[in-house]
This record gives sequence, structure tokens and C-alpha cells, in this order.
Amino acid sequence: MGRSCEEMHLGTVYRLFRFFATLYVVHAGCPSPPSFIRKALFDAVLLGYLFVTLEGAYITCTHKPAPFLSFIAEFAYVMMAPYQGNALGNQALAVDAFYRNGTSYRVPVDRYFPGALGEANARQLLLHFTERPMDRRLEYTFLLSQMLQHERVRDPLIDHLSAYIETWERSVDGYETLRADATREFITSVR
Amino acid sequence: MMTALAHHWDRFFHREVPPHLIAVLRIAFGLFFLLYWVTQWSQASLFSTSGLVSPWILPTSPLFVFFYPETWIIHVFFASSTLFLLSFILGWRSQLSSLLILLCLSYFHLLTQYSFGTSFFRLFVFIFLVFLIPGSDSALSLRMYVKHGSLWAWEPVTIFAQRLLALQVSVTYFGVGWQKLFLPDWQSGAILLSSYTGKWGTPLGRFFARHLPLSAFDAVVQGVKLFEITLPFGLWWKRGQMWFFIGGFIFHTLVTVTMSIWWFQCLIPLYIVFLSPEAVYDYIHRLSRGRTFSPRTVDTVQ
Repeated sequence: MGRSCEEMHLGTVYRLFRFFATLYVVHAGCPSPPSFIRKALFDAVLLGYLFVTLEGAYITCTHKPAPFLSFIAEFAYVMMAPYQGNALGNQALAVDAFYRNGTSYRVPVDRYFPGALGEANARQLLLHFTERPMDRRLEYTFLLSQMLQHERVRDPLIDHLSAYIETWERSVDGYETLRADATREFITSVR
Repeated sequence: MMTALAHHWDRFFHREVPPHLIAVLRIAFGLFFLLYWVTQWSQASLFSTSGLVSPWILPTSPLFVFFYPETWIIHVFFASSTLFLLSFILGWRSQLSSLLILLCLSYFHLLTQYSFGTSFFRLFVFIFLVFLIPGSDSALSLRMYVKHGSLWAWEPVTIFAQRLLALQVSVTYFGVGWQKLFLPDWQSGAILLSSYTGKWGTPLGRFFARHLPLSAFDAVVQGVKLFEITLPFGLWWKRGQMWFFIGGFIFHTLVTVTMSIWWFQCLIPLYIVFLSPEAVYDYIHRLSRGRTFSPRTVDTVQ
């Protein structure tokens, strides 16, 4: 007759207990108690680490949230996650500054965001707000209001700023090559 | 059997070893991180009210000034965190320095709310967390110089930190390789071609995109997946690990020069954790022409 699930679990717990009990019996002859305590502490850290890493592996395999300590598990997961934000098209933040007479110019947003190339682009697109569009819009509004203050220092006649996400096809001839045909998604405007 | 297993566990995770391996890693990783930190400092104004700031606390809070900071505050922040980093690299209270750097990283993360969540930043945090374990300044350090009067003096440390880092590097490669086997985007070379033609692509990346057929990108992506899956095992394989070190170096360097993603080069100095600490000690002992010594084992080493 097979053992019940509870019996198997108890057996596993017992074997784990026996393993660690043996481990500490091995250390029983250890001359310095602090060393013994240090090892016990390190084992506790190691078990915690292995548990969280297993949870990260669970997210890796299932792409579902971890059952326990999900914030730390997410941290472990991201340390073992590949790039998954592939878009076949280019995307970039575009900000236009408008005057009262309707004329405008394109604000060079690169001067407001740290990093270069893809890093600057990822920051400008507020990628960590992707799944929270309302928060993303609020964040853009807040950032744009600061950008407006800076632009007004350069030119006090600016009336308002409008932000868009531009999307266009990639080309082997260069990043900006096909940008003239970009589609625009309006995000927010700040006056 | 349990006793044998416990002995193996104890030897693998807790035995006392010469500290030179972890000390070399402290210096190599510290220098790499210094480079990263200086690149951030060079853009200090962009993290202040001169750029765009996204405070995560209310203006009524007394801490608001630190989360909506003027440029001089950011410069003071970077200057002091760089001092902590130098103290870490030089091996003067490295444990305390790691803790202070972790606090600085937390502040930096909160400061850049519009930053992107990345694997490399978490790896940095994890590595500094591991350096909270004492011992990284027990060789090639100012602490040893002050305590024993020589930079070559050393004191034994636990191997625990080295093992934790080795586990994490293995898990990182394995997790990344494993997911690439199944993620739809990673089933052809299109993702690589797309990356080379996107904003991440460097001139060299775009050169490859213009001149190589899609089948070549397919082959590279399949090769990368195979490499990343085997790497975590190859790094532990004493007889063949050197080939995997070289492979990892080439892989990360190609990623850097074709896609401007350079932060994962931090994994290259970490390969040292797959070596034997005794072998690293022997190498440094020879390099120092026999001048290394441990006050605790002075009779046996000298």
C-alpha cells in the first residue's frame, strides 16, 4: 500500500531535519562557538536564498507570480530573465513645443534623460509603467511640466508642450531612416 | 550517509580558505562598478531639478529636498558614494562600505523613478549584498596593511560568499538560456536583427544587419541559446572551464560592441568564483615572490 501524501511530506521534513541535525553534530566539536553560530546563520541565509531562487525559477518556467514573498521572488526572477521587450518597430518619445501663433519646434528630449542609445530610449518610454497606462500618463504630465519650465528659460514665449509616442518601421539603413512615416499616439499636453 | 553529506555540505559552503580570490573580485568588480558610477555622475544634473525628477514622497515631507534635489545635492551624493566605493576597492572596512553603497543604490533607485528596471542593477545589488559577508578585505587591502604592516598579509575567510556568487551566476545564465528556449520572440534570428536595427544597435551592429542574411542571425540565436544553457555547467567543470570563460568573455564583448549593452560585463570578473581559492592563492603567492603571509599560519606559509 502506498504512503499517504501527509506521510511523504512528514518523511521529507524528517529527512531535512536529520540532515541539518547531522550537519550541526558534525560541528559539535567545533572549538569556537561563534564559528558554530556563524555557520548556522549562513545556512539560514543560504536556505532563504535557495528558496527565493527556486521561486524565481518558478516564475521563469510558468510566467506566473510566485506563491510566497512575491516581491523578493520577482527580484530573483529578473536576475535570470532575458530581454523580452522586443518590438519589431521603433518607438520613441516625441515632444513638441508650441507658440501662441501655432508654430512649433521639436524638443530634443535626449537632453532631459540620462543614458545613451537604448538606455535613454527605455527611460523616455517609461517602460516600467507599460502595464499601468493611467500612471504612465500622470508621470508624463509631471515630467512634461518640468520640461516646460526648462524650455521657458530658453524661450519664454512657449505656450505649451505636447508629448507623443511615435512608432515606425525599423530599417537596416539607420534608426531614423523611416521616422518620417511614423504613426503618433498622443499622450498628454502641458500648458 | 547523512554524516558524509553533511561533511560535503560543510566543505563546500563553509570551509576556511585563503581570501585572495574574493579580494581580487572585490577589486575587479569595484573598478567595474566605479566605471558605471562615474558614467552616472557625469549626468548628475539630469537626476536633479535641472533635469526631470519624479519625487515619490509628498512636498510636505522634510525628506522632500532629497527626492527633488538641487544639482549640488546630487554632486555631494555621488562624491560621497564614490568615496565609499574607493574605500571598498582599497579594502578599508569593505563590509561597511558595501552597506553604505547599498544605501546609495537604494536612494539612486528611488531618485530615478522613470528609470528602467533591469537585471544588471539587481545583480549589482546582489553582489554588494554578498560583500556584506565579512572577509573580502582580508587580503590585498588597506585593512591588512594597517593591521599587519603589509599588503601581502592575509587572514583566512569562509568560502560562503564565493559559493553564493557562483550559484547566482549559474542561475542567471541558466534562467536566461532556459527562457530563450521557449519564448516566442527567441525562436528566430529576427530578434537579433531587430535589436541591431533599433535604438540599442551600434554602428557595428547595423553593419552586421546590413550585410548578414537572416539565416546567419538564426544560427547566432540558436548558438547563443545552446551556449547559455551549457555555460552554467561548463563554468563548474574544472577541466574545460577556461573555454567557457573565454566564450563568456567573447559573448559579453560582442553584446557590448553590437548593442551598447555593456553592464553585463560585470559577470566576467565574477567568473573567478568558479576557480579554487587555493589555486588563486598559489598564483598570487608566486606573483608576490613568496611575500604573502598569514599571521595565523605564518610557520606553514613562509
